[in-house]
Amino acid sequence: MEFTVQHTCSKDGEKEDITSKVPFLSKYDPSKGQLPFLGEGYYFWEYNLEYAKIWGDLHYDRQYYVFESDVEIDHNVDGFYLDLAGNRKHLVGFVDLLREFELIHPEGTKGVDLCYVIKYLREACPEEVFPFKVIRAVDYKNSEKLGIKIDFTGRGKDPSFTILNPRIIISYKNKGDIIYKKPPYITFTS
Amino acid sequence: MEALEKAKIALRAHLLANKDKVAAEFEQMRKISKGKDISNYLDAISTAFSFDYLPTPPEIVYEYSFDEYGSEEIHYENIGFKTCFLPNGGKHVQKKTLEVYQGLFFLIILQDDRRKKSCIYV
Repeated sequence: MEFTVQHTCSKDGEKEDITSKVPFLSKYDPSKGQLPFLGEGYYFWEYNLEYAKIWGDLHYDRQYYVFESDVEIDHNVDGFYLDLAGNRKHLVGFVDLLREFELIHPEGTKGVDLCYVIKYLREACPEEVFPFKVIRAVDYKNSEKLGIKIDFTGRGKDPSFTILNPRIIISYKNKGDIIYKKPPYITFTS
Repeated sequence: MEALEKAKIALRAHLLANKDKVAAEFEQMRKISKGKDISNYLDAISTAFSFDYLPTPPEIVYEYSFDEYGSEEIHYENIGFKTCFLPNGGKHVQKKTLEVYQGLFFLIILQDDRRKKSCIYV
């Protein structure tokens, strides 16, 4: 499975040095307010240069590079890739997994943010509980204001619709698991 | 996907062996979390249900004599859910039986969503 992805990073440092180190780790450190959506890892936007720029404006004070690359994710290795964006089988299985917590407490994972849950599954449980090294997910915040919504038929009180510009993130737990079809290169400089 | 099935079994074993510890750790995470989760979503779905959202088949008037009513097999070909929710695909269901199943169909959707994993994805 191949994806074109973007990674935004600070301009701080020599360009060559940054290029050789990209992508950079999104650290998990709640004490500093660092809470990557899907836990600590290496993050990309899936084919979303525009949002990669917005991210740079918001997080790097308009001093940033956007790197682009094509990556290959091996979806045939069971337990390697969890697709919470486009694979309902994975989604249903993951929700089932979360609901296991209701066995020990009636609240289960109620009220616990996903970043904490993934961190917990990865680090406080045996490896077989959450072996996934790559996670793909949709940031549905996009649907509130910026999403390009289009109704299917416009019929009914509350018409069904789809969103034509979902904001999709891909997170790698380990840098070594990123397989480039095309090495990262700077596609935009602020 | 076998990995998620194996994960579920492994998690269950882990949870049962560390029940109090995990519950306490999740209580801490609950305190520092800010957002909503799947349980809130399920609650919202169960209260947001409205018959207005259901597609309805066109009204068809069947005229049966007293003898036919309740004894003849009726073909409900215009009712889309029959093949999914009625015994034998709805092929040999009497009219009264069908009405009972129609009522049950809605109750199943409303009450069974926590047990049937696919029902939460409305």
